[in-house]
Amino acid sequence: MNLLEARHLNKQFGRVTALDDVSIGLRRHEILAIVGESGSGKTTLLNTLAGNITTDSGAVYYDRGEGLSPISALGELGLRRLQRAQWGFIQQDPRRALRLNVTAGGNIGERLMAGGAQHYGNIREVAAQWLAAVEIDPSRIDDYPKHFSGGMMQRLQIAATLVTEPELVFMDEPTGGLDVSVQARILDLIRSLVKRLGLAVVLVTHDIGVARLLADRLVVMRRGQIVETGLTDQVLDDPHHEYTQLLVSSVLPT
Amino acid sequence: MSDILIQANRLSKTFTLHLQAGTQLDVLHDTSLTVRAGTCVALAGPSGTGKSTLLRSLYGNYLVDEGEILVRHEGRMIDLTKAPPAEIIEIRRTTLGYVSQFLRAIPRVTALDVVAGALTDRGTELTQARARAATMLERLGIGPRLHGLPPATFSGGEQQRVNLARAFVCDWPIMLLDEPTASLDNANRDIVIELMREAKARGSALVGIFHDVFVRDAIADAVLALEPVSKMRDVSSTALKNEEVA
Repeated sequence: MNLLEARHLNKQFGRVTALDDVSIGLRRHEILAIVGESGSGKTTLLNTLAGNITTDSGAVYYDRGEGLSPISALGELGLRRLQRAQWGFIQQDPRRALRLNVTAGGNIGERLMAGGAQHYGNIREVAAQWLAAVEIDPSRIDDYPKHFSGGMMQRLQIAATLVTEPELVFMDEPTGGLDVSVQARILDLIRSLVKRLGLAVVLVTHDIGVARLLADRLVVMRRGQIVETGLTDQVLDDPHHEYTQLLVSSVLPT
Repeated sequence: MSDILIQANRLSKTFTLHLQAGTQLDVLHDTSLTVRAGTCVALAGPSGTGKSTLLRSLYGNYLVDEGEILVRHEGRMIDLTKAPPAEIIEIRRTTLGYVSQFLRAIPRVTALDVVAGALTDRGTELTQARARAATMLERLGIGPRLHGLPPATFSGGEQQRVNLARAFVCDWPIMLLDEPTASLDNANRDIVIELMREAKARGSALVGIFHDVFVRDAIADAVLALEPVSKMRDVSSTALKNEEVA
């Protein structure tokens, strides 16, 4: 009973094979990490699953409560609605997701309004609650994110994504550009929010530690192919594929 | 036969080290194990004979190449070697407890919540989970002063005891213990022996590695002596190349 499924995805960028017959499934409340180095196809896979790009062949299926059906059948508008209401996408760079000249509260409220909320007082109240949930002082609700630190901006993006209570969230290196001390805080925040809200997550990361902390299951990609998959701790502690062994052995001991 | 909680049949496990020219290590060969409710089996044998490998395989942390690992989960025997990841996660949540020597600290989570988390994961309400966690921490000599702090800053011994508290705060039907008393002082060692005895008295099945013979004698009902299987097998570079092509 998968919530999301990809079947036989193929994608070619010129002469580069980004996805080579990739199939995966994701269950409700499951956290799946896709790991691999740059160019392995992991971000292409994420964007394909999230409906941001199309593939040369293969399809992505999603269960909106009536069994799996291809998201391509939704049409552009239907897909947009799904992405806005039931899905969320957290980018590595919050500047790409946030509107920097709109207040923190406005950034959160916008998504709510896109989902149909209208009452200004309620929206403001919910926005304040979400700022608190991501550990931003609610008194900064009228401040502009361009004055925020990188870590705060990322936390704001998380609030703006989760405010509509999606059931599935895609994350692209959510701690990628941040200092190590800031990373720990974001990771802990993501970990507890994901658990509390019962989210299903597809997470792309090149950081094995992030995958170990957050993910139930792991997919290892190289040159557009899935080379290994399984329980996170099993794949990391007993890696079978040569490439996974290389990835694991390259991590500095903590 | 319904009192058998673990039945491992004819397990074999070979590690292939791709980064070391495909060197193969045969660690388990035709190993079997039965553990009944209310008993403890100790894994023994010289270093390198696969004690940890066997224990980790019983948790689904390592994959065996051959054999089956039947675990009693909610009244049914389930073969871990064939169970999908989601089912293994569920079995680990309620049936299989694993105690390692080392705590994997999570940033910012307090000692109390590290321990209480094991209970809330299984559906216990938070206030009650914290109360039980506090009692267990104190039993293992971690006083209230430390409960509100993240264990990352604790000494090695304190971290180990937080880890033990996390393991023993739950009533696991099956407990896998990897050197639970290593580097503990005698007083704490005795407390852990007591906790293991209580688990047995509740009907839990225990499998453990105990280098300390005193602990082993105090808790084990049977000893599975593992013997070295292996000579290292070096795969020639030609064979490796063929493998890569294939």
